[in-house]
Amino acid sequence: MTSLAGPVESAPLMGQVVGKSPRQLAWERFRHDRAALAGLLVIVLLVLISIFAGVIGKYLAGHGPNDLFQREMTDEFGLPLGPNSDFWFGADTAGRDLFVRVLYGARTSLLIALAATGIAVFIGVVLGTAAGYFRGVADTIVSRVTDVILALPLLLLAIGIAAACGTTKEGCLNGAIEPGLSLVVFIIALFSWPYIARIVRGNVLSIREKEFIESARSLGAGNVRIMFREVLPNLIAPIIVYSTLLIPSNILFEAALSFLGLGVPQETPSWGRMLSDAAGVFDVAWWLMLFPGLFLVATTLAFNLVGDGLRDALDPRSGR
Amino acid sequence: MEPLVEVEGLTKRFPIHRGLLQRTVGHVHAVEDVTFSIRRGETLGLVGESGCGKSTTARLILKLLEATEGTIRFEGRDITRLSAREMRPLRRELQMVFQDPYSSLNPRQTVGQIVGTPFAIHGIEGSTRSKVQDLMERVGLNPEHYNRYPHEFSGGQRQRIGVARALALSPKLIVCDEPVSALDVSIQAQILNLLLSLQHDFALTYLFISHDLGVVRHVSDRIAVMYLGRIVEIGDAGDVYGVPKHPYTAALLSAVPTGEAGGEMKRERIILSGDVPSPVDPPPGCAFHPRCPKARLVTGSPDEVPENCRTEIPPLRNSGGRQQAACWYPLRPDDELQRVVSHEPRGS
Repeated sequence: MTSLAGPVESAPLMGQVVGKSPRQLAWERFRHDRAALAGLLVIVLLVLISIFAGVIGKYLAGHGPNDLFQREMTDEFGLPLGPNSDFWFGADTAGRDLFVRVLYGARTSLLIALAATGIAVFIGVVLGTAAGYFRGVADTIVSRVTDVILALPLLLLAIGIAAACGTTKEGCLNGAIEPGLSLVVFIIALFSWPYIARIVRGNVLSIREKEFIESARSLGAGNVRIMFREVLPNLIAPIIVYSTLLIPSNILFEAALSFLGLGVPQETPSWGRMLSDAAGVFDVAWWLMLFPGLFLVATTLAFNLVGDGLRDALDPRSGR
Repeated sequence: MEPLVEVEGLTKRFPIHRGLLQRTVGHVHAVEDVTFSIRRGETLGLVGESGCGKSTTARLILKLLEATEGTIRFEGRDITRLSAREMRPLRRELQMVFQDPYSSLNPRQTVGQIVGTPFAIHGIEGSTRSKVQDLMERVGLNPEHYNRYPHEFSGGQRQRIGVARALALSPKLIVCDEPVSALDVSIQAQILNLLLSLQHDFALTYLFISHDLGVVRHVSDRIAVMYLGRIVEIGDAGDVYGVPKHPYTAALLSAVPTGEAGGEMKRERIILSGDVPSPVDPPPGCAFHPRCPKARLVTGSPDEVPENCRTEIPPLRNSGGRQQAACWYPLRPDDELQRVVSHEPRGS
């Protein structure tokens, strides 16, 4: 609130009046949001973990993600053994170090979610802006397509695409879509851009009626200039917020696909697949479900907290 | 001398679409057959109630809207059908100050960027910064606030930013669309005086739109009164205010507070009955006839109006005074409109 009161009142001396840009004001508000800061910390840690998963695994645990320790870590019935000083999170049914695999799982989750969200935001912003700005036919087409995609039973269709494109090495559409990470990214992006497109369209519709757009037009600005200089800068806040909120849902989407065996390839560590593997043995090997599950929850929670914090900080009502 | 702007038969109808197939089911008659001219260096005031077509007229002249019919001439050149590209060089000559200083400035741009936009669009060479700071100084802003954002300014200061932006390309005509109606009364006078001093210094021509008759009188050389998309009276400010010839003008003027003790007692208001009719379906003949007190005075009955008021549209013509009015029965000094009781005319 101190920042809202304005620099004039908080300045002790007349000479120290300092103007603040909208970005600075937003950061001031964000800085006072503890939950969001905690979320940001978790995200930073996760990013570091995904970047240095190999290093941490090697020096802290001394195991690779696909090294098998069947002799050490499975009992006479072939069931995995729980956490100990060497295997902090225990082992999975194949005798692999769960700790290392969870670290690598962070890399998979973040990579897929960020790539898919990035693509979705790009498509969503381009189509949403075009629809909102030009209205008419462009709007009708984009709006109907988003309606159709949002109405599809997405998990069923994703399973279908994954099954059709994921069974053979060549993929489908003449190799345009190959199985593996890129297929998962493609499926997630395909189903998440409409959310962004809708939000962008709505915002563009309201901004294009503002007088400063008319003013730009009266100065002779063309459509491209108006879109990039006048409209889009006003959309940065909602785009950042909704992208941040889209990431956790895409992480969960990836986990769901992997849980169903349709996500990343077998050997790639993924939280969703770990949970799926744990489903059969969780009554004897609780750690298989606990650790990937904890990381999944912590990650989605962190992104959601940051997203909410950003929404409060960038609240358009204080944008004036 | 040739007028700066000539508008002839200007008409704008907005189609109303309805239903699944977006069929056109009617039109909003926003501006109907408007003709006037603005002389170089003068201020033409455009007054009327909300929704009477003032702002639409302004946007038509600036080509922010396409006219349905009629012609607009700027310095003798017909600009009615110019494309956006052909219009671009002319944008430097025609500028606008907007009504709402909150929505007319992009909240994501600094003052420097906002006032510098005209230079960027028209590719004007040289130091934008120093030009912008000169402009800021001229309109009474601190040039050191170059890097500040609109939210750091008050309403009056924001409107000064809007004026600086309009002034940037040294235009010949500035359309002021209710430039002070969103401001506190104490700030209004400052902005009006700024506009007047700029007009004096830069030989500007203004089309000044307002619903505030006092404000318009303060700044205008000539005044046009609009009702339901049409100009009902136009002439020198003193004539229109002093001896209004159109009953609508008289009714509007009678509603202005006098500011004198007991003034309200001396001068009785003309109370119009009913509301402004819908511009979707304007009344036939004179658009004002369903509410006109003078028409009732002519017939002597509260619910009867003369035949020609109901059937024929009165043209703008000299009506006894020096100004022009669009009325079949222009006011005479002895007309007592205050006492007229009016109803909707029968049988129309």
